Amino acid sequence: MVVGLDAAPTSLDPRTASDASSALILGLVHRGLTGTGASGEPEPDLAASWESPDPTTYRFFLTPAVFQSGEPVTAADVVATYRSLALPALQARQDDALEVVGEVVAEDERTVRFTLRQPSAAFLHATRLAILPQGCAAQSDCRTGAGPFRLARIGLDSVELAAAPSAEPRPEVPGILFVVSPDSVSRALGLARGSIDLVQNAVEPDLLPWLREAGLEVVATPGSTFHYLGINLRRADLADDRVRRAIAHAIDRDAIIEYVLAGHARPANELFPPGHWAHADVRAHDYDPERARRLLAEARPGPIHVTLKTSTVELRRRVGEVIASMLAAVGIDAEIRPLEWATLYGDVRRGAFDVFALAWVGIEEPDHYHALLHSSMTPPRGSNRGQYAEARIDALTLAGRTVPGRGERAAIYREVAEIVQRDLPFVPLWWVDNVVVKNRDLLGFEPSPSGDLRSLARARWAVQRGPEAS
Amino acid sequence: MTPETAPATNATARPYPRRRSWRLVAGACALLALVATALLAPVLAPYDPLRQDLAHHLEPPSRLHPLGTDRLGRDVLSRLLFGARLSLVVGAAAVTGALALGLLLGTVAGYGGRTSDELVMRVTDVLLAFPGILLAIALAAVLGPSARNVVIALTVMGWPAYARLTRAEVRAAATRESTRAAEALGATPLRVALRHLLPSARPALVVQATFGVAGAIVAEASLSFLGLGPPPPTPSWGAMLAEGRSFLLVAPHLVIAPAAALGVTVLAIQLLGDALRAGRSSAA
Amino acid sequence: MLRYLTFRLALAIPTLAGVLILVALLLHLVPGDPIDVMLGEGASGADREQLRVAAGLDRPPWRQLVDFSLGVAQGDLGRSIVGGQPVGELLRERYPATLELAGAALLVAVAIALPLGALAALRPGALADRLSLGLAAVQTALPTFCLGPLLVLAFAVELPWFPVAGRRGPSSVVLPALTLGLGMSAVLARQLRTALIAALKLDCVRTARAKGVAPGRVFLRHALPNAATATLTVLGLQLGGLLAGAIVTETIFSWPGLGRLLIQAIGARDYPLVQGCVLAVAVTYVLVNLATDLLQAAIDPRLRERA
Repeated sequence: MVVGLDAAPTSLDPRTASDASSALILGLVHRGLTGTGASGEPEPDLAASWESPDPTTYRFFLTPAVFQSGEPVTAADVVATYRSLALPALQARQDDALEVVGEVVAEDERTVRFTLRQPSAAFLHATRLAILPQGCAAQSDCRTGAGPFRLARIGLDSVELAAAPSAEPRPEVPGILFVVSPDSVSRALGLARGSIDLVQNAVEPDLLPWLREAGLEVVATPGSTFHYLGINLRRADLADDRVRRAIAHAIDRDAIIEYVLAGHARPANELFPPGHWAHADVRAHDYDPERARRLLAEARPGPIHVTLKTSTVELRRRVGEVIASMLAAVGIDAEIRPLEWATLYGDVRRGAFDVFALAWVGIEEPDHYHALLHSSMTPPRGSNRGQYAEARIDALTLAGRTVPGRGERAAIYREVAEIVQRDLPFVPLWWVDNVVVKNRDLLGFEPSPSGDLRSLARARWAVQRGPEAS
Repeated sequence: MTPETAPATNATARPYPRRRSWRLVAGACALLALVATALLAPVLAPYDPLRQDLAHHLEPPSRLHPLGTDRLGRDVLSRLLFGARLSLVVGAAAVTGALALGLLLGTVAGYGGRTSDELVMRVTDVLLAFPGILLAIALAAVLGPSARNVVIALTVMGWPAYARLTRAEVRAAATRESTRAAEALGATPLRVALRHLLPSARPALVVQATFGVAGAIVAEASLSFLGLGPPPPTPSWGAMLAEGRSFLLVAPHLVIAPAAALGVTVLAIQLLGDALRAGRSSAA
Repeated sequence: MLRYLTFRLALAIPTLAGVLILVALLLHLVPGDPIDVMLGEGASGADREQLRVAAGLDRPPWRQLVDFSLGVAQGDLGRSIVGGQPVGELLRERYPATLELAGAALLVAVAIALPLGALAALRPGALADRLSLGLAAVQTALPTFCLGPLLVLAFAVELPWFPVAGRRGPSSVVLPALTLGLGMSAVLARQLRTALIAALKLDCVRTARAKGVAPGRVFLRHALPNAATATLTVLGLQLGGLLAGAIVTETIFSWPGLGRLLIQAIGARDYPLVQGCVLAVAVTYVLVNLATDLLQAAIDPRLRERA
């Protein structure tokens, strides 16, 4: 089975991988203590269950599982993995929430105890970190995991996975070949020819009908990737919340979703989509150009000129052009600046922007609001790039980290979402669906809301394929 | 074509062959038509090239839109007409700059003695081995994206080619009898260069330049995509090509239109260039 | 001859130095920090500093360049910031692919341009001439990023003769080489035609014809060498451009060459890797130049006295 990627993975060690391609591959090779469920809540993976006798102690009980090397997964491996994050040679990218971990101890073969320096509601989500065998964890490039597939061969532009004999249950396909195909037209042609069997979220929406005609199947499920407009609140005219509300009312999101995204997105008014436990269902800023013009007239007399910075990805530029034209229709003169990624990212972090269009991928834990909105979390510390400062938000995001109960946390983050709706430090746009284009003969694959490919472990071919095709 | 053969053949000069004049006329007419349409774009274009109509995107050619609509529902014909302005100007400016600079430095290198030759050659080597993409990114980041920066980038990256061509031809021409004779007779280096060296470089340079114009227009496409170049939604043929190719499989008209325009331009310039090159010689 | 070679190779050093300095200058001028790009959000300040030191980014830019150059002199090209692999290893993996594509594309270009250009020159205004003109127009109007998918659609999807992308097996180089080579052949054919037309009018050629020398011999021994100068220069230029300039073709066909590596490295601001790639390209370019100059001197004895 061949899966097409749009970019090469940057790392095959789960502790240092941060890009989408690496995540897709490593999701099949590794398992963590917990995984992420459909509603965004942690669910058991290598840990069959856990308990938290007090807010700073967590105890995990491991299921019987085996690494691809044949060794059983023990508590010692868990300890070694978490300790290895501090290895200087490794340069690990760890979840912020793991900073509060004070001590990790193996209580017995199957039990691990974490002691936190302070209570952290976000900690549990961070335990999806992949568990590595002890000896391997001490190295700076560990590739052995406990997942259903093992890394078999690494090529220049491909990564081959083979079904791990230790996996329980054994995958039905003998292996998966991930190939890097950086050009979107080339990927579509590869799908049409049959040299690629599956591509996720990397096909132009307008090519989907052509691909259907070529005999492929398109499966779309609601996703959580959140697209938004970031706004620089330091700019005089953008600091006025009437202007920001005008921006929100000027954008016809339904039209963009229908005509530019081929219907594969849902309008968003907050960070988390329906179905996620932290979804707050706040009121939308409807498409209302008249209202936008009125708000602008109230706020200031003259025309407003802003630059809208986007990445150079074709789809993003196009969306940016449409948004700019919609803003122009209400009197905001927006100039699009597509920028190469490193330049864009650098500008965004430095605050050298008026408005930018970006997305958050794979955010499941509402503690992210802290990094996003807390007044102290401006870059380089955090992601509050617009320099938003609101005392109530500061208090709420801090409270949300320590309050343990799910219900109480949901209430806290509901209030956060409502303040965001009122203040619009960023303008929410939509959540894109996960769109998978696949070979009709590939059965048993179900897209997951978080965008991983784990169900490939249960996929199988409709027609028995010969030994030369995997 | 070279001076020493001119006397031998002028005596048997034939009447101006009809074939050559056909090229000159065709090329010149086509080019004039292109320039005219570019200038008259506001009058000729049926729609505002920036006007989006999302509901009617990627439509094939029809009565309403003779060349169809693009990804955002904009009229392709209008964008083509307006795009001519930017593309032709960028193409001409980039090539003119590169040609002028390259001609000058190439002659100096080929005729000016060992040190200047090595110096110029090292500089061209450095520029030719250098990844132009980086220069483009740097210019965009530091000076901001615009058409002017495209011209700067293309000029800087383009002149070494012309310099090398000039140098090669000038070196060969410098060893010819007629050149030596002129030098011996006391002609100034400038005169020697203008009358004996440069004419032999002309054919190669003309060919290079004709492709250079088209190349510049297409290079602008790649540069636009990197963020350098007139930012969207300003239409240009290069940008239309780059944008349209993503939809090659479902809307080929998006590529065919600018490609055809580009092809006609290249053809016109080639014909004109051919005629100019052949103009001073006595046989086609 | 040997003296000339050593002299030219010695001259290559300032060229390479010039390129490296220019690249370093621009890379550091451009906004964007490799650690930032690599980490994204979420890494604490301490992690960032640690990584910066580990990558040697705490040194001033000129110092980084000097250290890199010293390393090169000892054969060590440093390590990529993003993956940590030795740059030399990354280059070694990709260089053969670039050479293969460049060589194949050159073959295609010459195979098309030589006969076409020659025929066009021998019979100006006839079919071959018009064909070369038409080809030139079509080729330049259809850049590689359009031509590539068209060829793939025709010969890999509709007629499944070749693979869509990737470098696996000898047949996988055909479509990429065609895409690149066709574009090159247009300019080459026109240059050759023009140069030949001029060469055919030279005294020595007329004399040879008048003496009754066979036309083929006239062409090969008298006309072609005189036309070689400009044509070889153009060929040399195109070859140089092929090395890093095949970026678009490499991207479309997932060809694991230096061009793609370079562009990815620039995008990631991976300084050592960018410098390594540029060095590899520059060295090849210098060698190609040398070869072109030598070939020109071999064909045209008059050029030798300047050497």
